[in-house]
Amino acid sequence: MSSREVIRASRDGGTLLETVAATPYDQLDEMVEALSALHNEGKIDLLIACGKPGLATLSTRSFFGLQRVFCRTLPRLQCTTKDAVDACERMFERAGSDGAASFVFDALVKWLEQKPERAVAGLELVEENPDMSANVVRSVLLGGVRHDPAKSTDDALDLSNREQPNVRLPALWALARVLPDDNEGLLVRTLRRLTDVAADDLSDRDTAAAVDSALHLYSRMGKGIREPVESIVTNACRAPGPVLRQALAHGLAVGGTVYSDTMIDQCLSALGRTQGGEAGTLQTLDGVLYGWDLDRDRKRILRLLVDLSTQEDGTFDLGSLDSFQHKLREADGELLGWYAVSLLLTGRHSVCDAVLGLLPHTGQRDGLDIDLRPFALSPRRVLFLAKKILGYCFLKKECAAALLLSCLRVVAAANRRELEDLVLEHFLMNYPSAIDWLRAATPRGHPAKGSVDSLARRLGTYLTNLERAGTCLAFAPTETQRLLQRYKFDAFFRSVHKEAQQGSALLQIIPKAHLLYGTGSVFYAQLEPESKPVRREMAFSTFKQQIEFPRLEQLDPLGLQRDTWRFRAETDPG
Amino acid sequence: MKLIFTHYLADLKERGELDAILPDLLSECGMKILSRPALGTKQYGVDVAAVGSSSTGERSLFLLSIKSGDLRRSDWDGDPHALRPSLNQILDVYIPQRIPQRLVELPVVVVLCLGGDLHEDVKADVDGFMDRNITDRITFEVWNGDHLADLLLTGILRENALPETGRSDLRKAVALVDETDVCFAHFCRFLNGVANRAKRTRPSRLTAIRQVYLGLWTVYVWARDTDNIEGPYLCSERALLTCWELAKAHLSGRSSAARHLNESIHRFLLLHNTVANEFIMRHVAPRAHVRHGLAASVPSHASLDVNLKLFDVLGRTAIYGLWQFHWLQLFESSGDKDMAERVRTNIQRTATLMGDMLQHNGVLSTPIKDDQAIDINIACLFLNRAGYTGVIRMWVGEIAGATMFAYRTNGAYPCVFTDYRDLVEHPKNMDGYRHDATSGSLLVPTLAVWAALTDDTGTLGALADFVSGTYQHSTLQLWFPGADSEEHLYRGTADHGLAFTGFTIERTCEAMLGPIKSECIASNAFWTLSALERGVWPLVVLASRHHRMPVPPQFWPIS
Repeated sequence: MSSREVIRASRDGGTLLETVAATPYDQLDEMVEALSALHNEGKIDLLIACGKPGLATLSTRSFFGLQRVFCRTLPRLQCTTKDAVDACERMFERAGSDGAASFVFDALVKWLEQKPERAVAGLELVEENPDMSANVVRSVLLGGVRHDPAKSTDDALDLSNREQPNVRLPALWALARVLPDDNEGLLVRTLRRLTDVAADDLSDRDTAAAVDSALHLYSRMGKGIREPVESIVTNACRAPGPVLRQALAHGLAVGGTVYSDTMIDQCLSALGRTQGGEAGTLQTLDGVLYGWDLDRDRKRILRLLVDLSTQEDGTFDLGSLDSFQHKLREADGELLGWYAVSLLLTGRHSVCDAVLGLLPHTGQRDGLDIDLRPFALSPRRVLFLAKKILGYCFLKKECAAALLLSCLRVVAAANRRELEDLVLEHFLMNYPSAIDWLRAATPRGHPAKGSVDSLARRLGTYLTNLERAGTCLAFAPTETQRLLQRYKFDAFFRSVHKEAQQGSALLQIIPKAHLLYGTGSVFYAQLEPESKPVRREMAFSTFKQQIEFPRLEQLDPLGLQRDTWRFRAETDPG
Repeated sequence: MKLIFTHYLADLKERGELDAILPDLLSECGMKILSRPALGTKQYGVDVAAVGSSSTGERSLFLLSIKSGDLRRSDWDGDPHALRPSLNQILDVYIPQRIPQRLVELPVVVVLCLGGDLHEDVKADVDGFMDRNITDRITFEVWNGDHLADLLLTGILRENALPETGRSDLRKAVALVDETDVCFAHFCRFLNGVANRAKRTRPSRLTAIRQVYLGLWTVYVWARDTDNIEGPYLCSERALLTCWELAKAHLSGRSSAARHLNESIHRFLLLHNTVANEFIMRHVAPRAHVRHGLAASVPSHASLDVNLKLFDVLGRTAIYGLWQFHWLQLFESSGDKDMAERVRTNIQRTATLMGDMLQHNGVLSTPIKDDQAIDINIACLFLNRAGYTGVIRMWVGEIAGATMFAYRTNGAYPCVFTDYRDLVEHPKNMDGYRHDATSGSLLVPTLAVWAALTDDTGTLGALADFVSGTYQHSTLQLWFPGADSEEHLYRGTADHGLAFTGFTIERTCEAMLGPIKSECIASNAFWTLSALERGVWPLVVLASRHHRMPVPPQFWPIS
C-alpha cells in the first residue's frame, strides 16, 4: 500500500495518529508528502486530527513519533494562521516538560515564513489575544523577519513595551534575532531599549531577556557595540536573579568565546551567586568551565569557585561541576595543586570543603607537591596551610601527602619542627605507608629531604614501639562481641556493595549474572548473523582494591574528629 | 580434676603461693596449724608447723619444709635456699630448741613438701638422708604434687563439701581460661554453688571461702601459662566480693573461727592484689608508656572495643592504686616502715603509669557510655590521693570538651546504653535518638564535681552552659548508698541505693559542691556499710566498679 492509502485506511479506522506516529525513518519523506497532499486536497484535516482528544490517546513514545512528522509537515500545509497556531499550542501542551516540546514552534516559524500575510495575521492574533503564549509571540516575530526584518524589529520594539510579560519578554528576546544587520537607527533604538530594561529594576525575567538579547546581538555584530553591551551587562549584573544567571550561563556557553573580558568578568561575578538549587545554570556553567583553559583562566575560575562556595545558602556542591572537576583532576599536578592550595588559603570552610572534591580519588599524584614560593606565604601561613590540608584533604592520602610535602619544602627553619610534628601526629600516624611515598618523592637535594628523613626516623620509632608492645590477648573482646562486630561489618559492606551496584553505569546497561561455581565460564556466541554459534571460554578475573583506613579511626576516633575540626576552624594568621 | 591440681601445684611459686595455700589445705584435713610461713626466711627450716594425725593415726607434729616445683639435684644441696640445709636446720635447731613445751612429747614428722615431683637423680640422696636421720621419734615423709592434689580432693574439695557440679564448673573454668567470658561464666557458677551451699555457720563459711580461694588460685596459675590474666582478674573481683558477703557477718568476735575467717579474707585480699598486680604489670605497664600502646594492643578493628577495654583497664589500674592506700594504712598502723615505703613507691609508680596511660591514649578522654563515669571517678579518686590534681584537672577538662563536642556533632557521645548490641549501633541517626541516648547522666555531674574540686571554673562554666542548653533534657544524677545497699552491694544481686537529682551544674566551685556536700552529710547508709566498718573501704569502690554502680560521693574529698 502507498502512504496515501495507508493514511486513508487509518483515518477510516480511527487510527490516523498512531499510524503517522509509527512512520519508519526511511519512509518519513513519503509520509510527509502524502499527509500534506491529502490535507491540502481536503481529504483529511491533520490539524483537527491533532486535537486534544486524539493526542491524549497516544503514548508518550507515539506522541513524539507524531511530533516528528508533524513538524516536517506543518510548513507544507495550507491553513489559517489561527489553526496552525492552535495546533502548535496543543502539541506543545501535550509534550509537557520535555526538552523537545518547543520543536513545534520552529515548524510554526517555518510555516509563517512562507507568506508575509501569515506573519501579519499572526501579529493580529497576538494583538487580539493578549494571553497568547510567549512561544507564539516569539514565532510570529521570527516568522516575519524573512520578508521585512525592519518591520519585525519595529513590532518587537513595540511589543517589548507591553504590560503582559508573555508578550513583552519574547519580544525583548526576539529583538536581537530580528534586527537587520544594516539599520543603524533600529540598532540604536534596540540598544537603547535593552539598556533601559537592564538599568530599570524590572523583573529578573525582563533583565534576563534583555541581557540575553544584548549578548546575542554582540555575538552577531561584534566589537562595534561592545561598550553599550558591556554597559547593559554591567547594569544587569548588579543584582542578578536566577533567570538572569541562567541566561548568562547560556550566553557564555554559546557565545562566550567572543565576549570581552569585562563581559566575562561581569557574567562570572553574577554567576558566582548561583545557588545550589539552580541545577540548570550549574550544568551550563559546568560546560562553560570545561571548555575553558584551566591554566590561562585560573584566577578567573578560582574567583568563581570561591564565590560559588561562599553563597549564603551554603547549598553549592562542587560535585555539580563534575565535568570541570574531571578535567581538573586530569590536568597537570602543578595546576591542580595551585587550585587546591589557593582554595585552602582562603580559609573559608565552604571553599576549603570543595577541595576534596577536586582531588583524585586514589593513586599517587605526581606534581601535586607544588612550589609554594609564588604564594609568598609567611611562616605562620605555611603552618596554617598544612592544618587546612589536614583538615580538608586528609581522606585522600596521596594528595594530602603531596600537598604537605609542598609545605615541608618551604617552611622556615624555626617552624620546621612544628610542621613535622603536625605531619607525624596527624598524618603519618594515621597513614604510616605514606612515608614510603614521601621518601620516594624526595631525592637527594630536595628541600624537604631532611624533614622527610627525620619523619621517617620518628615514625619508625613509633611503629617499633607499638610492635614491641604487640597485641594483648587479655584485652580481646568476647566472642559475642566479635560476632556482633562482624555482623555489623558485613552489613555495612553489603550496603556499600548494593549502593555501588545501584550507582554503576556499567551494570545499568549490562545484565548481571551470578556464577556460583567454577573459575571460568563457557558460552556460545553468534559472531555474525546467520552464522553458527562459536564456543568461547572466558577465565574469571579478580579485582582487588586496598584502602588504608586512618589508624586513629580505630584507636581514637573522636580525637581524630576533634583534631580535624580544630584544623578546619583554624583562623588565617594573616 | 586431680591432673588439674597436680599441674596447678607444680606451677606454684614457693613464697606467697604454695606456702599460702598449705595451711588452709592442712586445716581442712583436720590439722591444727601452729605456725604459718612468715615473710622472709623460714623459721629454722620450717615453713609450716601443724599438729594432726599421721598415716598410722597417731597424733604427731608435722614440720613442713616447702619447695616449689620439682626437686632436682641443684635444689637439694649446695645452695643456701636448697632443701637439705633447711632439713638440717630442722634437725639441728628446730626440733631440739623450738618445739613448744606442750608438744615435745609428740612424734615428729618432717615433711619434704614439693609442689612438683622428686627427680630420680636426687631420689637416692633424699632417701639416704632420711634413712640416716630417722629415729624413734622422728620420721620423714615426702609430699609431692600428686600427694598434695590428693589432700586437696579429700580435704577442701571433698565430695561432701564440693559436689561434682562444682568441681565440673571449676574444671571448665580452668580448661577455658583463655576464653575470658566462658571461663568467668563457669567460675561464677562454681562460686555461686559454693556460696549457696555455705551454711550460716563460721566453719561452713570458712570452708566455702577456702574452696573459692583455692579455685581462684587454680584458675590464676593456669592463666599465667597462657599469658592472659583477664579471666582470673574478673574471677578474683567477683570471688572477693562474694567471699566478703559470706564472711562479713562472722568477722567480729575473738573466737578462733572468727580469727580464721579474718585471716582468710586477708589472704583473699592479698591474692586479689597479686592477681591485679600481675594483670597490670604484665598487660598494662609494658604498653602504657608507648604512644597508643594500649589502644593498639586491643586485638580488634572496632574502635568501640578499644574504647571499652581502655576505660575498663583504667578503672582496674585505679582501684589497684586505691588498694595500695589501704595497704599503706595497714603497714603504717602496724609500724612496718619498710613495707610502707615499698607501698608508697608502688603508689607513685601506679600514678605515673596512669599518667602515661592518659597521655598516650587519647581515647581515654572520649567516653562512649555514661557509666564509664565510674572508672573516671575511681581514677580521679586515686590520682587525687596520689597528689596528681593537675593531671585530673587537665584530663577532666579534656573529657568535658570531648563529650560536648561529640554531642554537638553527633559523634560518639557518651550514651546511657550499656548493652554491647546498642553500643555497636551508637550513635544512630534517628529522630529522638540523641535525647533517648542521653536521657540521664552520671558522667556530666561527675566531671563537674572534679572540675570544681580542681578549681577549674572554665570547664565548670562550659558544662553549665551545656546542660542549660542542648543537654537540658538529660537528668543529671548522682547515687548514694541506701538502707538496702549493704544487702546487694557486694554481690550485685539487685538494684539498690538512692538516685540524687534536682541539682544543676553551677558556675562556681562552692555552689557546685554545696548540695552534694549536704547530701553526703545527710546520707548515713554509707557509713554503715560493712566494708567501711571493717576498714576495707576499697571493697566498696571495687563493688561499684565490678557491678557498674556509681562510686558513693562520700569518697570525694569535699568535706
